[in-house]
Amino acid sequence: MSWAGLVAVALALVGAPAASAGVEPDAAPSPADADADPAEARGPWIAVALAEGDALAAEPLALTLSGHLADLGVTPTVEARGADEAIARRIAWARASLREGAEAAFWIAAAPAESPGEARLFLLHGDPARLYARPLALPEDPLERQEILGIVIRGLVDALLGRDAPLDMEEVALPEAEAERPAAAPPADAAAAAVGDEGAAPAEPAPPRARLLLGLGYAGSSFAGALPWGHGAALELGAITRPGIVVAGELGWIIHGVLTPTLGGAAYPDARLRLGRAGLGLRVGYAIRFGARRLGLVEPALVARGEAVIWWPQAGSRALRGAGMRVALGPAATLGVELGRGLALALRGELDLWVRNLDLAAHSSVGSVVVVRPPRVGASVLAGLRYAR
Amino acid sequence: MHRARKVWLLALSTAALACRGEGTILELDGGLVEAATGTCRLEIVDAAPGLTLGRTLTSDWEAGSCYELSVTNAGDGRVGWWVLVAIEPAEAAANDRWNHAATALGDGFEEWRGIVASNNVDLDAGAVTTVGACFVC
Repeated sequence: MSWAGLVAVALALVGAPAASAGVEPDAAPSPADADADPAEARGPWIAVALAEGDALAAEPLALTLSGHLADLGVTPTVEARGADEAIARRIAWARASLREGAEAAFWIAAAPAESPGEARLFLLHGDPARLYARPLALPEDPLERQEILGIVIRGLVDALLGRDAPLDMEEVALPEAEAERPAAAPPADAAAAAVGDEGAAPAEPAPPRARLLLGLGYAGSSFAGALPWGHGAALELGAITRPGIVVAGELGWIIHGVLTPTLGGAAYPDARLRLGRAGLGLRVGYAIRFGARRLGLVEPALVARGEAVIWWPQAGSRALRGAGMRVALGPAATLGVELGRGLALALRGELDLWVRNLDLAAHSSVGSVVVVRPPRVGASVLAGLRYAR
Repeated sequence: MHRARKVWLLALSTAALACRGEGTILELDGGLVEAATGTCRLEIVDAAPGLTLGRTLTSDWEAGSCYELSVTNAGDGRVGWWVLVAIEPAEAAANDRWNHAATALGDGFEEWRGIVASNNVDLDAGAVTTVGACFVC
């Protein structure tokens, strides 16, 4: 998709019948003024819609946005819309903006009474159009409010320019009537008329789809007193559903230092061996975002893991080669911080309760004697990058 | 019915928690002397390098056995000796020991070493010490 007419951001506070004409900075021509393709004529632009009666005025917000977007070469258009406008009409308006050359539209749903200050910012963009949303804490002071909107919208536009998913936003499904509409939609007036039955319009967008989760990083885990800690790498692949439920599979490989078997006080330096652990796990958790820009992440989870323990002799050693299985269940907790573009730094700690464990033994003609007995409880740590899209 | 389910769940949980497998990382020599014949069996599984070992069944009755080991340093230098023995059945309990200290390693395995009181912690080249124990099984 070309950059021309890339982003149209329509910011409309919930409510109010469609109203006044757009306001934009002096230098930017209106799309309606262009003779041919308006998007081609004016370059990339965004449309911002305000709710009538909001503490913000269209003109100062347009100036603020213009300042924030100047280095991106994007021009804002701000317009006031009715405060009690139905969502279908709002989406129709946003679609009309896209057809005029914009490819995205934003609006804000007013804060619910139970949590004042926690508004929700919506964005419609792309072809076919996709709807995104995120919570947004807006202060009372109009100047602060204006500045925060400027920063947030600039970040979003920047992400869209890079053809990334909108930063810190979650995709939400378009209302059914909207999703079924053909791509070649009728003109703006007709579209508005098509959704004129406001009683039939859904009040809120439907629950959104799951996102893919990929992770890669360092893995460390305890084994036994004789082999206290092993190091390796782990890979995870999973999904995050919209309410924040995480289901992920994990694959890991950990290697421990050289083990010199010891029986009682007698060491067997001629039987040194290495031990590795290949693990396959399933994690089910719940991701909770926190922080001013919801960049923080905490994810409590339950993990089930099967592990193949593999050992092999060092050069010249009389130790045997072999393998065995262990199974663990346990709680885990992930702490993370969002880096942007779906990437996050994550640190996870796991408590491993080994329900099926494995002793390492020396065998003789009269039986076996345990050389290494791993405890029932162990610990694992994972640290790395995770990507959600 | 509800109670029975609880019992089953408890039994399964206990079994799962108690579950341990075993992997062999080392094969011990074993068979360092001929097979034992007593009511309680004592096998020499391993020993410090350079030792020559002998085993004698000194007493045997229907509930137990006594064994004596002769430990000879066949090497050139002084050595702190140790012998790894396995007693069968593993539940057999020693009721007498002489000239050594034993460390239980589990599953009937013991490590025997000399003691200061018997002046046999280390053996000079060619030196011999005799140690023993009686077991009830």
